[in-house]
Amino acid sequence: MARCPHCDVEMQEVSARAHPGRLIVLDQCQDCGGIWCDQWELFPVEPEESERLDPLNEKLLKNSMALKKRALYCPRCGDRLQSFREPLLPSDVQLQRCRRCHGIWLNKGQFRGFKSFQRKTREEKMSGEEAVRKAVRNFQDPRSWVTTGTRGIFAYPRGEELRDGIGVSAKGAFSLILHSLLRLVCGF
Amino acid sequence: MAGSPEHEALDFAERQSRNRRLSAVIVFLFLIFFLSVGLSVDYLKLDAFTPGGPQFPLATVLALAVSTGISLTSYYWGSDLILRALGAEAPNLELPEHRELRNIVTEMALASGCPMPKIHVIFDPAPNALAMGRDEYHASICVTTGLLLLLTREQTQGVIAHEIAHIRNQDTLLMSLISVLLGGIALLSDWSQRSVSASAYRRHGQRKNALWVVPSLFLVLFSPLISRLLAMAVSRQREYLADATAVEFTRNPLGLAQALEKIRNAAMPFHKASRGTAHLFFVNPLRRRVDDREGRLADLLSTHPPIAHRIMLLYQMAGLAGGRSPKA
Repeated sequence: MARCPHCDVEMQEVSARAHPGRLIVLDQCQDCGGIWCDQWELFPVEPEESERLDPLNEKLLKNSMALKKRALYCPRCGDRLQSFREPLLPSDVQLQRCRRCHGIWLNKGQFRGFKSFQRKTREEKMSGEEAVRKAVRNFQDPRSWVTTGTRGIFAYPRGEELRDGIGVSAKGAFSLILHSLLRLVCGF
Repeated sequence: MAGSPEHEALDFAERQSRNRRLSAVIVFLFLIFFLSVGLSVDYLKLDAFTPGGPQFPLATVLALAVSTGISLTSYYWGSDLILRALGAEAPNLELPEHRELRNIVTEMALASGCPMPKIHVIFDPAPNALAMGRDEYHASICVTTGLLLLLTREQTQGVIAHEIAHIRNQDTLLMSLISVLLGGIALLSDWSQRSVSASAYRRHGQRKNALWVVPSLFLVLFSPLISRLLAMAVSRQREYLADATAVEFTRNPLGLAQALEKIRNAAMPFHKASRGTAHLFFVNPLRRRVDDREGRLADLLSTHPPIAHRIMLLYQMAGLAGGRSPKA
């Protein structure tokens, strides 16, 4: 049985529903509420499960902030855990990962934060049908193919609202000339 | 629960060292090839190595300098060159689709134990993806907007995991090197063919030794074929291996199988791809017929395995024998 990197007590196995339709067994410390996920276990867990496994508890959250300054060691292989920084994640979600066995430690509240962010990115995205409809509609419109690159298919017609349209076009034209020259010279 | 990290690390280390060795061999062969063409141009056009000819083998030295330059460029800046040639851009994180892409890449980087690769997006309706870079610290992943449009989160995750598997196995070093070296060979081929056709060979042909002329002409005329042989170093096995590694990261073979099915059915031409870059992609953007065949000859001539076979293997991994696809 694995021991909590913070409290050094035995963690308990907890099961969580995961995609596609299966159960994953995670390790959770009953003292500090932190969760240990082995290499691939964090990502497929259904976001709804985070509310059950990692409920909001202000008292525990305050305690977990105080524990962050200590060096943590992997409960599986004993290697020192390293912080993984990703600017896009919410600032309170700081993952600690083991570079040897690739397991991930999440303090109390961070599992929930990570999963909420995952759910948010999924919900914000255009639905499949809408995206295809938009692509078909814009595909014929030359304005969505202007060298504004990736803005075209997703942002158009939002792309029209860009303030510095001339700057973007000039940059796009320069980039197009550069690509053409490169392809000509390198034979790509 | 975790497997044995020591065993996994050994597995990856073996694949990485094999790829590094093969990359070194290919760069060496590339240098030798350039040297031979330089020597042949010196001999055929400039009359070097013959009595009364110039003492300094200009073309040989030039070819060696160019090949060294190309090799160093392809090692250090190969992926940047390819990305520029493909018109790749950094994602715009104001767009939800790109934010989700970054989130998926973060998840897969964590699952694989790799550092976070750079992300790029190509504005093209053809669904495809590729990975590049000399090692996992200088790696880039690139997807088309068509892929982001077409695939669901789980399917995109499968594709990204496949690309990260290439990075982890250091296939990307070999593939990026080959892309730039192929470009160099195409350039050399054109140059040497022009040189020979306008050479003094016809005027002084009788003074040449036939033993020199035949291999020289062979090199000059067949350099496009040699460039294809280089591309064959990117074997089909790498794609199967990357699929298997991707499943190891996502534990969801269905996501990748469904992604392959959707991409196969989309059948859109990828305008920016060419022979020099085709082997880098998730599925062959040039859609050659040989890619759909099996057997030793097809294995030799094709850089990508048949999509149907990849799908079948993934369904078998998911426990759906016979490759019957559930609804996506």
